[in-house]
Amino acid sequence: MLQYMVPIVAFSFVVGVILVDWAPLFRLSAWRRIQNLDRDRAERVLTDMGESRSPLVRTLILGVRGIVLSTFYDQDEVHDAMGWRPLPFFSARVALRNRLLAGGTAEPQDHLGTRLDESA
Amino acid sequence: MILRHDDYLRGGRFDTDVVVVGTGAGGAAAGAELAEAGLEVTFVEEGSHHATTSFNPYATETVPRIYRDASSTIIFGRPDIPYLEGRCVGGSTVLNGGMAYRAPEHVLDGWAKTTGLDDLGPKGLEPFFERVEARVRVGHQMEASIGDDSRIMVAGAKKLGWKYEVNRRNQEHCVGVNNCVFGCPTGAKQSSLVTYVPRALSSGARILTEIRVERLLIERGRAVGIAGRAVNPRTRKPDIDVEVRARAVVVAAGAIQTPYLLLRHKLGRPSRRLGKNFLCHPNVKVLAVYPFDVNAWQGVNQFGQIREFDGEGILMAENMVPPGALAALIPRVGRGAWDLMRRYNQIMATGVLVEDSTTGTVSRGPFGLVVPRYDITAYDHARFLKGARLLAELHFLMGAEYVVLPFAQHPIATSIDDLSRLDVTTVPARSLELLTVHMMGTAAIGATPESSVVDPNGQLWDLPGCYVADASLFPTAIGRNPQITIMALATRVAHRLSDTLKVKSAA
Repeated sequence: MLQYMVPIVAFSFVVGVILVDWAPLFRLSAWRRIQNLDRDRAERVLTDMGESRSPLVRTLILGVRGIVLSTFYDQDEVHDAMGWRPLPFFSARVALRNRLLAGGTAEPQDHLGTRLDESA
Repeated sequence: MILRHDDYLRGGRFDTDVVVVGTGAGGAAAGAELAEAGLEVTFVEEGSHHATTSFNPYATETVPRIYRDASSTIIFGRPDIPYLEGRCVGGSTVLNGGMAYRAPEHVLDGWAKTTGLDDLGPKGLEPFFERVEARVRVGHQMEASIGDDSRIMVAGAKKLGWKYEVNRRNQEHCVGVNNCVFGCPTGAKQSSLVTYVPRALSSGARILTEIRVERLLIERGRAVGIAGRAVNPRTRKPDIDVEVRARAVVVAAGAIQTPYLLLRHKLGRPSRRLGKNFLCHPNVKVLAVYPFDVNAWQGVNQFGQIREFDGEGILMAENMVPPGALAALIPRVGRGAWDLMRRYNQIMATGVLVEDSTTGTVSRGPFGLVVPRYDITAYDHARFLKGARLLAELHFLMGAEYVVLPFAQHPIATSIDDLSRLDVTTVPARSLELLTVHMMGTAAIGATPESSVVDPNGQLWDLPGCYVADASLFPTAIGRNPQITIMALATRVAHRLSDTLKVKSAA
């Protein structure tokens, strides 16, 4: 993904990852880099940084967190664990649209959503 | 004809009647109108061409392909505001939600009044709106495509007695796949990619893709083309010089890239307003986690908008995104992130958009950086807090278990009581997590060179032959999704330009 960014921004991301890794020492919250902390401690440090009062620290975390989490939550194995299976849904809806373009109509089973009447 | 990087190895010099920089809402509309008027049109697009069938819900594949700089773009300010825009054939129309609103009448009346151009008013723009709406097939959603997240918003608004307006969308048989932000895989969303671009191509236009325009060609005080470099899609390095010479240049690269390009030539005089008047409709996200499956990823991206607070410039709506995009918005990492994301089917993503009460700037920075700057006002701060709280209240009323708020130090609320503790003293402006997708206003149109960047025809006051046809033209923010208004103004610029060029040809 870095090669699609403006070079100076891509460089800043790399520096950002290094800074985040060393953040526990800079912030005096631990004497180890994040990659050497146990998982709970590392998570706490990162969460604290994400809630920092300094916009600069938050922007740093926002960038790094965004790229890492986007990549992780983009994997089929993770989607399966979340119960999210979009491709069969996509195929069914493409077939429905083709039917509509050919002059057909949507059948009751094609309707999405159920909660309007229950909630209203 | 669509050309790409390897095609320029055989020669990078082109001649044409009009070169159009950008293929988004403005560029594609202007270029198609010019091509249909019989002019030879050449588009220059920085991104690549991606077919409808290639769109999918995977962020790691999609974001670098169709988003500028892999969505690493940011507006500097207090707080910083990440912004998103398209970089592909079709531009931001490929990745927007497909809302098709005209600028409201009071806004257009204001434009006519402040610019002194009567034809920027509702009556003057009416024929252009009608033409655009027919071409991008504006209409309402069919019932079968409305998902539960939209139904919850409708029901919540009804319970609270709030005004709710059903969206007009540019779509044809939209079946509610809800992949708008990563490109519509069914072709239902009538983006420029499937409307204006094919029209232009069938009228003989050509599109030079994968070219970053670096400068205008200016001879004897007149714009006569553009120069750029083709970006190798494998290495992402610019490695072939390309030049397009034309009778007129239309710049439609969006409200950030357009001033960036023009400022290279120190244009925008005498008003010096080029890059000023930057408007961006900042917004915040409010995620709600329900104790039941909402499956917000099924159903139209945004069925309607809560307009109860229109008078204060506050607008609310649902806008669910695929997990790869949602994960970038959540305020947690590790197990905390998983605890939230594993309930993806129960999450509803909603947002609060606030109409601008101030303006920012766009300028050229070091290392090829574009530098947008925008600081929200105290009024905006208060409106974001109010909007997010009201939206969270709607979710609690509809049975949400908890909501994820856009406030760095107060990211979670588990009840309405939690919301009562949030005010301007406990949630400082710098702790807001903002985002934007509507950039406007940086090369505003007007009647005099002292007060505007371009003349009533869309031509730069200080550079004959160079026209602007995108959201940069807006004199003020419109408080609505801007694509239809962009297309209408671009159509107006194209008609005037084609008349001018035809008169010159005849002479």
